[in-house]
Amino acid sequence: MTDYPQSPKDTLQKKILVVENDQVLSRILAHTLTQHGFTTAEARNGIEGLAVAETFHPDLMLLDIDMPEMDGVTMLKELRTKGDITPIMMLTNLNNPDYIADAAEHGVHEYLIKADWDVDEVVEKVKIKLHLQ
Amino acid sequence: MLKRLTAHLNVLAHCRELNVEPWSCPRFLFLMFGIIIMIAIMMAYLIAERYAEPDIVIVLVTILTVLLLSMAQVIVNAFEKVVRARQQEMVRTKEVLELKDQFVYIAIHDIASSATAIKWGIRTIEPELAKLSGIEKEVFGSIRDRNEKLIELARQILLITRIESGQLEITQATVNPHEIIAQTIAELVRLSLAKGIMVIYDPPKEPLAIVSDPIHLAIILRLLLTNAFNHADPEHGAVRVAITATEKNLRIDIENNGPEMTGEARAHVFEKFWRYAGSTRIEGTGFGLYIVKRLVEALSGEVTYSSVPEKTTFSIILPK
Repeated sequence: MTDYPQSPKDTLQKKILVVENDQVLSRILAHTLTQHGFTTAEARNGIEGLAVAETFHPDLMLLDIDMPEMDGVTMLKELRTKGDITPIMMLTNLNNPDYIADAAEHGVHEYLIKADWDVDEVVEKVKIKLHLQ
Repeated sequence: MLKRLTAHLNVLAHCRELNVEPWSCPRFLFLMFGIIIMIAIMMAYLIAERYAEPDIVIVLVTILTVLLLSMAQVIVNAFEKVVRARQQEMVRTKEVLELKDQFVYIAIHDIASSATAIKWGIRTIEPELAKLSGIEKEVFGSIRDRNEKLIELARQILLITRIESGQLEITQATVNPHEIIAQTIAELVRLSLAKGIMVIYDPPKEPLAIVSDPIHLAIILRLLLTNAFNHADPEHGAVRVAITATEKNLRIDIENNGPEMTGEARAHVFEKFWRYAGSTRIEGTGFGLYIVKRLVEALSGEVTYSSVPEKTTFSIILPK
């Protein structure tokens, strides 16, 4: 198992919701976030993500874009319509400018192409977003 | 000349080319129209000569006018039929191309997803794998490298699909080219170290800024640097990056110390699927420089190259 440096106390209090339909990616991401001291929850699509967000009250959400039933951009729109302004980072496998523009319209400019980053680099970006670094 | 004229006069062959029957073929109908006009004029002359009464001439001219208008209508209908058939064909072709793009998108999405799962999985268990040695370590390194190549291939195929389907979106932002170059060199440091390439970059002495697309500029630089690493001298590889600005343009030169490009390479270097066959050690998909050219053009720039022994330089010139 990876030996991570001891997590700072403030990460322990931060909750991250990972909404990702690829089970392996979701598990690895949630596991790595946990190793860094975050509390995590997982959902497999936008509908599940909206339901989990209501009870989990995350400090940040990582949303995959291409998901069955409800994609990440639609989930983002639903959240913003309901007045939920939780910080969000979009994750995708592909650099699709249509999605980038769509997400940017709803105030989300953090757009990570998963294949471009290692999982711990994604975690570092989460920390930066939450001003933990 | 004669051959072209004969081909032009071969009306039936033309109809076959259009894939229509002669009586629906505009050129055949036009020929018939001409023959009928000639016959009609001769008949009118003969009749008018024999029966000089104005009433008969008026009836005759009326009949001829109706006949000619009917023929003209038949030809117009034939034209419309051919055009409609072509339109339907274009719609079908567009649908097929859209389906192809959709298929490529889904396939590449799944490939990228699987490759990312492998990449992240490897990263998660990396400390354990550090304990490996010998063949196991070699095999593991190979899996990781091949997976990275798979990801890069997926990226490139997707980009080509977007470029060729006209879906490439160009954003305009104020860009610091020095920052993008430095970042791209840093991202490729593992590759340059693995190949034993020395990267020399002289940053500009004064701050630079251009209005361009930062994402696509980074892709262009990444591809040109990777190309330079692949073609640099295998023993003492060196790649030099230089940046110069004029009043209107920005120029970025990426130079490697590999062998001179051959005549064939010079002719085909920016073509899709073309790979330098001069050496079996060169890796690549044959997409890189094609993508570079298309992206630079999309940014209203120009890409050129020069090659002499031990010095091949690719230069991009972008408007400021």
